[in-house]
Amino acid sequence: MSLDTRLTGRDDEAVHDVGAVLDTADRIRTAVETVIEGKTEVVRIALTVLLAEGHLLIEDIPGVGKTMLAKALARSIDCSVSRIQFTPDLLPGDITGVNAYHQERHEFEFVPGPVFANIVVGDEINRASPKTQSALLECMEESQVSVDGETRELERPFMVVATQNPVDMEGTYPLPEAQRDRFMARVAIGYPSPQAELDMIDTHGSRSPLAGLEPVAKAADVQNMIDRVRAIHVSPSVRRYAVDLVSATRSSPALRLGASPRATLHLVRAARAYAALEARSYVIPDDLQALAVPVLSHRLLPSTEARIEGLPVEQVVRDLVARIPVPD
Amino acid sequence: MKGRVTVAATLATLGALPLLHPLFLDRDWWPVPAVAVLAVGLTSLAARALRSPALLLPLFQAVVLLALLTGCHASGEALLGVVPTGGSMAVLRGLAEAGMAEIDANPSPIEATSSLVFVVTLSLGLFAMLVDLVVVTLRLAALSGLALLALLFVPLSVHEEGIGGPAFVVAAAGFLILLVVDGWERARERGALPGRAGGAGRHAVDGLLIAAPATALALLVPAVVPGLASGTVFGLIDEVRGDNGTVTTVHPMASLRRGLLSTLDRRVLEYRTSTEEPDYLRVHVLDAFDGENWTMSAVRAAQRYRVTEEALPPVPGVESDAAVETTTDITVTPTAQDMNFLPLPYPAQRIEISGDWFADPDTLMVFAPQGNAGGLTYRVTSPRFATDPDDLAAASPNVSGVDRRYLDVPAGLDPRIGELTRSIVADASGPHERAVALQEWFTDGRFEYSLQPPAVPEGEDPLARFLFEERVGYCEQFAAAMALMARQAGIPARVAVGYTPGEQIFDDHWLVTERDAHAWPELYFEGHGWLRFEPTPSSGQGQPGANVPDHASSAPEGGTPTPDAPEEAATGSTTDVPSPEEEPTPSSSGSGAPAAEAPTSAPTSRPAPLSPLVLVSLTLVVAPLLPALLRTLRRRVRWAGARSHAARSRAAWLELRDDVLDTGLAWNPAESPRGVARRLGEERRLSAEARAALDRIALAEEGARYAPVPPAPSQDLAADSLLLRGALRAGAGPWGRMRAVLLPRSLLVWGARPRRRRAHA
Repeated sequence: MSLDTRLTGRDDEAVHDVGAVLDTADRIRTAVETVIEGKTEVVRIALTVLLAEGHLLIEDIPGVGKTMLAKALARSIDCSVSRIQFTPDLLPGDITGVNAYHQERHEFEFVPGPVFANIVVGDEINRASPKTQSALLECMEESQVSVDGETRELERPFMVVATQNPVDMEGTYPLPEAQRDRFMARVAIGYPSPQAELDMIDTHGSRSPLAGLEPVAKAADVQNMIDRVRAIHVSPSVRRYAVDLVSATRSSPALRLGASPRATLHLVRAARAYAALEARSYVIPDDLQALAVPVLSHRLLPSTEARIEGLPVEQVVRDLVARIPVPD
Repeated sequence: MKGRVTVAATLATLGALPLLHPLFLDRDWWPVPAVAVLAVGLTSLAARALRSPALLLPLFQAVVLLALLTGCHASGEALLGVVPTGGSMAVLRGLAEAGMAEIDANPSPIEATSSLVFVVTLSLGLFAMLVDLVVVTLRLAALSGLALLALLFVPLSVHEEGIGGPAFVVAAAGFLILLVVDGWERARERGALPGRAGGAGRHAVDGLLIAAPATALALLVPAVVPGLASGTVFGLIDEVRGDNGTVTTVHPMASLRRGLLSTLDRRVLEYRTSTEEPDYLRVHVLDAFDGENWTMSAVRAAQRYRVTEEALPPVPGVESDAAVETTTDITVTPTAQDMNFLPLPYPAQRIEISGDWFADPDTLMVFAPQGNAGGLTYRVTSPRFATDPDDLAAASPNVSGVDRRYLDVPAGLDPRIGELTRSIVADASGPHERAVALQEWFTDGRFEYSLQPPAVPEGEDPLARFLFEERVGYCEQFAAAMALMARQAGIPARVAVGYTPGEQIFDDHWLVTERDAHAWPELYFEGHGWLRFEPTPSSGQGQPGANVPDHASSAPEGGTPTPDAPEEAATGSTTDVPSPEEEPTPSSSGSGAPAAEAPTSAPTSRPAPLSPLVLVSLTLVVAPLLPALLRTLRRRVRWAGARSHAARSRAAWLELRDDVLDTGLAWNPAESPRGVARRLGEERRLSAEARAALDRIALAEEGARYAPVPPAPSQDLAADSLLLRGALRAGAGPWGRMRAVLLPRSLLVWGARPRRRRAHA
């Protein structure tokens, strides 16, 4: 870590711009980390996805704090938050909202669903039926909701933080590849360290840690940060590098399915946010390298051989990163 | 700052001029080239004072050089005398072509014609530009030594005598001054850096301490070690050195004897001739008798007598113009060694041959200082003059058309030889009769022909022994003895060495082998020139292939001009001088030919243009240093070409890559700059200072690559690069360090990255 702070390239003009992003982001990060301890990298990815206008998929076994992370992120920003617990009997309308008949006015009135919020926490998304899943995914991709032929824009910023149990758990409908592709990044939280777990007993034992979490940024601040992130410079050579990385997944013999062009877009957008979080006004290959696993791996399917060898997709991505030359 | 170095570079170039001095006949070839060198140096000074970009400097220098050349050689065609026009350029081009042609055509030394001076001026001007570029722009003063070395090779490789010691000293001194000044400036620049203060000038002193003894050694060693002294590198004490090109060869008598005794009897040459009775083929002419041996005085390869399409020098002494032309097509066998004199029928008047060959006007020998006739085919046209026996018999004894040296008889000869000669020629009237009488005395049967004459006891005069006691010998003794006695009889004489006509294979084809080697006297008659005589017994037990020419037969009234004639003639002319009666008294200063196996006092072989030993040692010294040199050169070029921030960052980064590779660490092109910095920091325990330098270089490169506007590096990246190289090498261990310097792996990597692997591949 020390190297990264020392290496942070500060460019006089850009620092002013990016500095504001950094301040707000730092506050959010600190707030979230009071709840999720010892998971700096996960929090950083979550923030990156927020600033890059993406959606985050948190995949892990139950009980490690997936929902806690989603809620903490939502709570630390002063914005509308809704939470959907996905169950097998959940219907699309439970997400998007429905046109309900207004008795007094004798007309149909749209009742917005929980998706009309800045941050939507989708718990255990893979427990819902595919039809319901796809209703959410349309909102994610289009930032809009279509009900009965009428299209409604969602609020900005808009971020879906979905959690899911590993696909081989009981009672799950695995997300199809096309739908996983809509998520910008997937993170796994992992077990806490023994010390963090011990601390957790002490602090979380009496009351919910979320209760003490006050919002540290406004929705407008976040939107402002997002606008600045869009201005982060990506040199042509770095774009080329992103294309190289993504297309390498398509030709790798260890992968049955490579990443889509949308993955390339997501990778570059995420890299912009990642650079901004480091107070840098331009993207460097290191950003792409750091994001390659969270942004790419959930879109990939291992080949049969890789599966037999027990080679995880994440490792395949890391090998590609170690092999593709960085641009000059 | 760079001014001193520029001046030193110009001085060093000027100092190298004397190296070329021996190449010219004229002593005043140098002012214009020297001015050109000065002009190039002054242009460099002026342009640097005006802070013009270093890249434009060669352009300015070229313009000045062109103006100078135009002004000197084509001012008539130029605007204002110096501004080049199409016409002046054409003139210059013509001069260049003419100059190159002259260089191609002539061996050194060469006349400094205006076209040649033009070529030399142009070359030296360009040379000065090169030195300026290497020394001042690239700051590789030591490398200019290679350029000077190249200049040194010019006289060494084309000039027989090598270069003079003084010229070498001047050139070396110029180079040393350059090194000293450069070292001094460098030390001063370093002194400006923190932590490197002081010591300015120490490099210079160190350099001098090494260089001065080295120069002294370079001068002394060749002079002391005998094997090197007469070589081409320092041809200072060559005894036969004339003021012009000279040529020496293995003593003809030695090769003659070797040929006659050859058991292999290898073929020497083949020829086709237009005559039924071909004459001898002459190779050498020995014109001086020193009391013991016949030797050849040095011949000069003079431009005037270069063998061209035109006729050779006129046949000396011949007044008749009634001649029958004979053409001979001679093909020398390719394995013939060191044959730098051509076998020719006498008198050759026209030769069609390739290569640089020169004629000696006096003897009509044809030779090449650098050449070898092995494998050559050439056509010789030689006139055969009709000699009227009456005219010949009436030839005047007062010879005027020939050098007096052909009558020289050394003092201190055995007096019996003189008496013998007088008694033989006593009855003869006129030079021709005397010559015939001498020849007959040898061929009338009292001599026995043998290739194995009895050994001459130590201290005895071989010639006297041959004439008065043994009377056994072969062509060498006969020819030597008769030539000497002819001189005593007042006839100019010399010994020719070459080949008998050989064996007729079929039709007009003849074959000459080693055993056809032969020696014979040539005698001069006023109005008739040099005529061949044949004292060696020719038939039966004699030398096969030898024959007595018509003009040398004794009896115009009915002599038989057949090869067998001498024996018949022998019956006629009796031994009026009974030699056995005379007591042999060996004289210390006696004369004789059998000592021919010993080479003459002149060097026995021509020095090679560039001794292979020198080449090999140069290669041995230079080759191992070549990789290090290339690596340094690359570093300098990299930094010299880097002006912008981005370029300097790039240079520092590429240097880092090369240093990493050199010290045996891995380099992965998939690593980003900060990734590399992180890894190196972990792999090598770098000091905090080195880590900081590494981070600066990585950040600068990252900014230069990816930032919209590359940030200015916070510190001097060159200093960081230097510091980092030291740190990397320190971590590589002694062997690793040595390998990093001598065998830099980075040389295997050209282009921006070690290997480019496309992601889609």
